[in-house]
Amino acid sequence: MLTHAHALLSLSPTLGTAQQIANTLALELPHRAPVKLKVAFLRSYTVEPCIPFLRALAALHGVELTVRVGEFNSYAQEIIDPQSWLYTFDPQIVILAALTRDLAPDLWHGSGDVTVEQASAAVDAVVSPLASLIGQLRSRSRASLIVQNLEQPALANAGLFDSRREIGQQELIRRVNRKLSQEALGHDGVYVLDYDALVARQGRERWNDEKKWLTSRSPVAADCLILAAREYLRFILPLAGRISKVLAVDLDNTLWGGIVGEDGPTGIKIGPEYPGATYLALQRTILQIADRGVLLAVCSKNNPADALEVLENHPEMLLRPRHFAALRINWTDKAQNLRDIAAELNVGIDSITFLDDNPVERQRIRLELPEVTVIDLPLDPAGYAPTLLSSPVFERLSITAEDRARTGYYSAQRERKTSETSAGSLEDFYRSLEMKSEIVDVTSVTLARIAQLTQKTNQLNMTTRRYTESEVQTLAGDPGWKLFGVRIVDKFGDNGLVGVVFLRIAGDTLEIDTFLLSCRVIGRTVETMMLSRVCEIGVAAGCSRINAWFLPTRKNEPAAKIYADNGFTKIEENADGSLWQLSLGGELIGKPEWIGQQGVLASVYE
Amino acid sequence: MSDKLDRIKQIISTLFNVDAASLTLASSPKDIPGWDSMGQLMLILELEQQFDIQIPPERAEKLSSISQIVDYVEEST
Repeated sequence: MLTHAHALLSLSPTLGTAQQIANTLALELPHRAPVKLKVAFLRSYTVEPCIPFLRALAALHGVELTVRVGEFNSYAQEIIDPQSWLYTFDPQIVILAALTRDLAPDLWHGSGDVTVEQASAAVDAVVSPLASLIGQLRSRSRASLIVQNLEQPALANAGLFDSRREIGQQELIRRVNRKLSQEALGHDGVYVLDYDALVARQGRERWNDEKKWLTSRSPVAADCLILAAREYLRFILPLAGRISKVLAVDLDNTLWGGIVGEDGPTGIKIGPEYPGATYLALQRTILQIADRGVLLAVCSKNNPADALEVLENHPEMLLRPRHFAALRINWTDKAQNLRDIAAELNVGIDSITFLDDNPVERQRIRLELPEVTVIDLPLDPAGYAPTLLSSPVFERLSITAEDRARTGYYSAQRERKTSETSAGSLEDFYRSLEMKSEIVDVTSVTLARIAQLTQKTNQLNMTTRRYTESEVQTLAGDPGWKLFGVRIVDKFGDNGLVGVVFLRIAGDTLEIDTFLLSCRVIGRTVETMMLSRVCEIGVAAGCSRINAWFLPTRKNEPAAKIYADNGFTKIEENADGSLWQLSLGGELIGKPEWIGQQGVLASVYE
Repeated sequence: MSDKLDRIKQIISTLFNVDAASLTLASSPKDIPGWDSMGQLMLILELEQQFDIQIPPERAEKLSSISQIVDYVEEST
């Protein structure tokens, strides 16, 4: 069904196809526990025809959407009224979809003939009410908010003369959009969808169907509906935590033109001249994706010596071995190689995206490893780079310092592994790492990373509860909750913020809501250090026991024994998981002596 | 004729989540709960894409049974 659905949607991208996929796919993907999300559209126009596409595309990425749509032009009432359907529905994501002509009729229909002084008032008249609505929604709901900005008209009402004035219609709309972006940056969990750029990418005249607008308030042409849905998906996937951490690339005819084993290192096509330039463009895009914190891997059927000769020595290559966190250049089946890459990099198989020019290999991976994201490259290599750049699985709504430094972590990790084999006892190994820890609070500096860890950590995660930035902030401000993060530095470098704990005080019981650790520091007793901190918090809060659920998933087997290993007793077990308890009356969990404390680390973050 | 009828039944079945076998030439918005004004818009968009036609608004609002749709598609393709 999955391979079929991908083919169907690219061959016949119509509403009916989308509806069919959306209705059946969630049921037929048993290997992939879908992330369930509720999305509310507040709108000024008919968004309904886009929704089947959105649900179908989301389902293909393992996200099951429930969508509700507000009344036309009623978004203000729906946000202001605390009793409105919006708050009863309690969505994780709200999309504010209003057109320029509805939101700012004066700008849309007027000539834009204003003085400099009038201009700022005109911009305020549009943005201030929106800003107030954004603030009210954020204060009443945990939902992330996606606000569409204002599209420009295809032609200015004043014609060419519009651009001959200091301020005209188009400049006013640009200023509204700039101000709206600034407004969004002032809030956590508020994002601007650049609707104007989206429409411009397709062409304003192609995008808009004036007749459907006039008859049904449905402005988007039938063949552009799927493109609107793709744009929403770029926000929804990172908000749902359905993103790829690794990009695994083929070599021959993907990173360069030709086959190195046949054409030789001098015969392949790569460099500034066409057709080599198309491959160079793809390599540049791959580096841009890596800059967002995505790890790169090679997955190629090749003679390692031939391929490495190109990667290491070809003068025109941008990508070098140091850019790759894992290399699989052999004649083994690619599905097996991808499994090995996942194991080596300590990520789930569904965190991998596969890039290969060969449709047969792509089909093979889709059938064998349906959790892997497979990018359908077009036939023409000139389309490779744009296709990769538009993939929603590499979208990040915030990029932290950890993300940017990730490849460095992994090369240091290789050295740590070497160290592990040379150290004698396990304790000697821990000591040899010279670990230092720092407990950090939720602050504006750590918020994004803490939320990101709850969304991305799968393996050493006791409850796998996902939190958005705004939800974390709400909990952090609640006196009934205690939240902390853990940063680990060792002699190989700074691992960054790698652990997160959310605690809830319920009478004399301290409940562990969330306890997770990045796989980067698995097997180094950091979890024991974190539990000892939990004990301290419990005692300080006057609690007599700690309760902690372990909720098994397909991924978090590595976490299964942590509570037992640290002296907790199992007191309950049901279909969802097991409940563990530790009395705070007896001996508490101590800090491992090989993890030192450091209080001055915070400065590195500033 | 029967090919187009089948395709149109299939479209209505998918869009409005009804069993294609239960549809007849006489089926209309009165018999199918999802076929409201929004459903009509979706149906028109789907017909236009599937049969590569442009349905003028004046005609679109009059397509209110399967037989009317089949007749229209027949005359415009």
